[in-house]
Amino acid sequence: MFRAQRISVVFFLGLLLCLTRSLAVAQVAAQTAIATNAPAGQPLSQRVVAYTIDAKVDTQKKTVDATETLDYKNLTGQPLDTFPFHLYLNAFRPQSTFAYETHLGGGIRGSAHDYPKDEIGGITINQISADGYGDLTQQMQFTAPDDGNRNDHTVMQVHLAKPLAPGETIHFHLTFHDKFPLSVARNGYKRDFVMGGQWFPKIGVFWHGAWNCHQYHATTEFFSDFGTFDVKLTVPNRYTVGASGVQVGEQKNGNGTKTLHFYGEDIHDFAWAASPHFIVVDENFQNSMGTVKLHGLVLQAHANQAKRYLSVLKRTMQKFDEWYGVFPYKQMTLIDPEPGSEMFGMEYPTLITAGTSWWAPQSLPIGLETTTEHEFGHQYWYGMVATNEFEEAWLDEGINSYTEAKVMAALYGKQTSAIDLHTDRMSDLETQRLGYLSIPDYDPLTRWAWKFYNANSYGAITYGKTATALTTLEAVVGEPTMQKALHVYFERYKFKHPTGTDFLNTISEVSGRNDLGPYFQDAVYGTKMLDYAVVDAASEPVEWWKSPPKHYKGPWRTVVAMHRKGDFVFPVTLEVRFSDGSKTREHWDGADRWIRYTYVKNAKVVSAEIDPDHKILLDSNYFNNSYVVAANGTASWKLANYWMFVEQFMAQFASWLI
Amino acid sequence: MNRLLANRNYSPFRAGLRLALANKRLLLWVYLATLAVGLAAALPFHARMASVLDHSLAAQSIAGRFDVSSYVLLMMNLGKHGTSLYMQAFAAILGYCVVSNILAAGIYYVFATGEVPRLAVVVRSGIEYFWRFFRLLLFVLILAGPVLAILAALRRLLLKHADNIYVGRQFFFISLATFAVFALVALFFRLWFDIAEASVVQLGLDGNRRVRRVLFPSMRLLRKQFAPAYFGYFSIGCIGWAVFFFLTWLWMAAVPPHAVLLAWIVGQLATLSLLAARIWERGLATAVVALAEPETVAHTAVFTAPVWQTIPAETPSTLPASNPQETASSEQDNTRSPE
Repeated sequence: MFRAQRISVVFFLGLLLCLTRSLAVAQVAAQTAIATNAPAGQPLSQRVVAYTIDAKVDTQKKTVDATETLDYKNLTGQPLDTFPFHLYLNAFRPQSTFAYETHLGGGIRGSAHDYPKDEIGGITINQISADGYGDLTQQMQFTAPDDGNRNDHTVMQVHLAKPLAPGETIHFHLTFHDKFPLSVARNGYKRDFVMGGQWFPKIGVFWHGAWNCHQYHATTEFFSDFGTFDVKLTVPNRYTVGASGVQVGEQKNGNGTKTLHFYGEDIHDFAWAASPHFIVVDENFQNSMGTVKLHGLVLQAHANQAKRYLSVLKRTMQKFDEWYGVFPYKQMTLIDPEPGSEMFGMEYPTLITAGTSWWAPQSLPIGLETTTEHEFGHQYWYGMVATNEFEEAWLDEGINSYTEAKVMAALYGKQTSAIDLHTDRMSDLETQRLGYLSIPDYDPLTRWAWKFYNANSYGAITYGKTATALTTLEAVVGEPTMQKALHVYFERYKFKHPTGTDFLNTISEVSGRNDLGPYFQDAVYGTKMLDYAVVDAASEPVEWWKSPPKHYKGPWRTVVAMHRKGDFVFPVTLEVRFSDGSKTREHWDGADRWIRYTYVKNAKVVSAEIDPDHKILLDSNYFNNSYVVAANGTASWKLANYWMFVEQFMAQFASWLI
Repeated sequence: MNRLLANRNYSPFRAGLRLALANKRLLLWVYLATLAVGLAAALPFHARMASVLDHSLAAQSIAGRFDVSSYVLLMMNLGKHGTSLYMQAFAAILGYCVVSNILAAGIYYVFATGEVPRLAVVVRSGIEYFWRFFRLLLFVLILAGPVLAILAALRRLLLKHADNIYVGRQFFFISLATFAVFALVALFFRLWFDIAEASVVQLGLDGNRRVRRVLFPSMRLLRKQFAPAYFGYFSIGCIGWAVFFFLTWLWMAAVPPHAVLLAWIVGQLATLSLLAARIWERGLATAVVALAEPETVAHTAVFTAPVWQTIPAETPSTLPASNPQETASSEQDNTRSPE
């Protein structure tokens, strides 16, 4: 090539490059939404915070060194001179409230009896300053608003010399160091997998006139403000990283590391997961706002499960889109965490961790499918509606368990959505109900999460009872009405941090029922148990004092009685079947302790059943809900046979040992 | 001596099978004991279940395709009745272990002597050897317990280390392989124990009540015939478990949910398969002792009947003394040659 030609070509290419870059910049300026499909790119939430984090992840030492800039906009309408921050990683020390609570009453994923050294983690703020306020490092002070444990260190606050005026924005600058624990309570590392959850100093929420910044507890989850997250993560080249938001850049650093750039908006937290063993499986989901990329990062060891992950994720998104509202984000990331870790089954904005094993059969949706569905459901109730999980955990976990049961039933069958074996079955809804009935009456739904009797009660009530109570409510207001109520609740309160009262008022409003108060009182605010029983169902000749002839055909007097065994009052239906094939239904308000019905017919009673449509899931004992006059021993003998078989096997095994 | 043991060309595996097949009535007695323990637990359980289920429409969820949640709820609602049922089941298992120990001694006695396996014979001889078997159990537990405990600890350490490196299918197979090693060692101890039991019975036939000093000669005997004994024993176990799993699978896959009687029959056949395999294993242990070379026996200075009963009286030079006094002295020094 001649020199003049080369100059021309270089000049032309340079011009082209400048033009392209100008066009790109113009495009970005025109479309401000990067991580959402918001129409015209407008913000979906009131963006209170804007985080910019540059973090270097040491995958050998399991540490992070990072700088963080936080822009906090004072939209509280009042001057603020104190700013609390969550330092959640400090929970993973034996001195913390989390560790003590786990020791005392168990935890969702904690060790109850000791505190292993490798499960110690922590976060250290090396320096904090704010524009116009100078260095605030010396101002840092650990607080413990929930229990006064000065050694907890999961909440820190700084005090400003002069308050931040309403409408003004403060720019904090922090440098911090994370030490991840061996996987515990959704965090840390397992083998060479690292989960960055609750890993950076996160400001509390100014809510209902005060700062809401609770400590990390054994049973609670999280609550934070919406905003934007601009995060750079530097990791070894061999690592694949999934994170909240969308990836907007990648740069090779030449020292065996790369820097990945993520951006999230209208979200209230940012999490990431990194592993050298991920395989990437992507798919698209189309909704009314646009295309959502389903970004699956599945371990090579579980490659055979990748399609199942994306299939259930996509089908779940379809159901949520159809029933509750549209998913506005551009990407949904699914992480398959290391087996045996405590990182499975956790939700973060636009990122979830699921969990499976290499052998998990499709006939057990209770594993992979349920977890994926459940965690995606959080994107609506935790992610967008974003209720306060410290104080009203049932509004997230509970409503999500209810919608989980609905979606799973729709996708995998009403009776087989948890177990679908040749001989055995179980529904997801029944797993929720069993959870509730395992410890049903220690705590109401509305108890603050860390104040439950123990971790089992927290799980039973928050997840199980909410799902059971909302399903029972369908018996009163109807299933379509409940679906509509949840749709209205989501659309009305997304990005707004509503309360339980908002939720219950929405149900009353949508159903047009202003008589639900007593039900809410017992089911939501109370601990009463619901149990109705058929205690009598028998027929005798009307002229009972005479001996009936051999082929006496009537008239018979039938007496059926019901007993309210629990304190929970609920209207019930009774269905009585007779030997001539006829049946009758009675409706009882359930208020008295018992009621008796008498019939005179030329037929004898065959059976009597309370709640014949099986809608009252709060009823703690189904077996006493009915009485069949003619005994049928099939079930009892069947169980006795199982019992006998197991007993014989155990006996043989014991005798083999000795 | 049992004439079935006379043929020395048979492997212990085959000789054990011949013994088991020739004494089918033993299987009946053992099965009846197992049936009794099953019924002892199942009948009270059934009575409790019947009071809840027999008049309830909700029982349909158990009678048909099994609703796991209904069953769990049922067990949760048992309350104090549940504790009582569990205790009954546990007590029945303990009782079975005692009865099983008696039957085991009876089985070895019948195998060794060739007597007709009438229940009276089995029980009488079983009771006679009961405490000797109990003492033997204590000795074996003292010896095998620490070895198995160390092995289990090593396995745990190994798996902990492997867990840091391997996941999924790889880790499963490592776990399976280490479990297999543990199980094979446990099987070795079980075989040793069985041979020791057979030896105790055979010695007893000569009026010798020794127990402790049977252990190491039994080990030497096992070492001498390790391959045919151990692999035969292992094969019998595999056959028993294979039949058991097949029948259990058949139960789950082919028996209709409502067909309780059919399910019971298939379940009992599965139970029977393990019992039969166990009797066969005891036959193998008896054969290992009985088919031992006289020289070996002489060195061990322990094993007497029935092997030497088959040897002509004019060639007693390699035989151990049948004199109780002389036997008693060898209890003091088992390295002493009987010549």
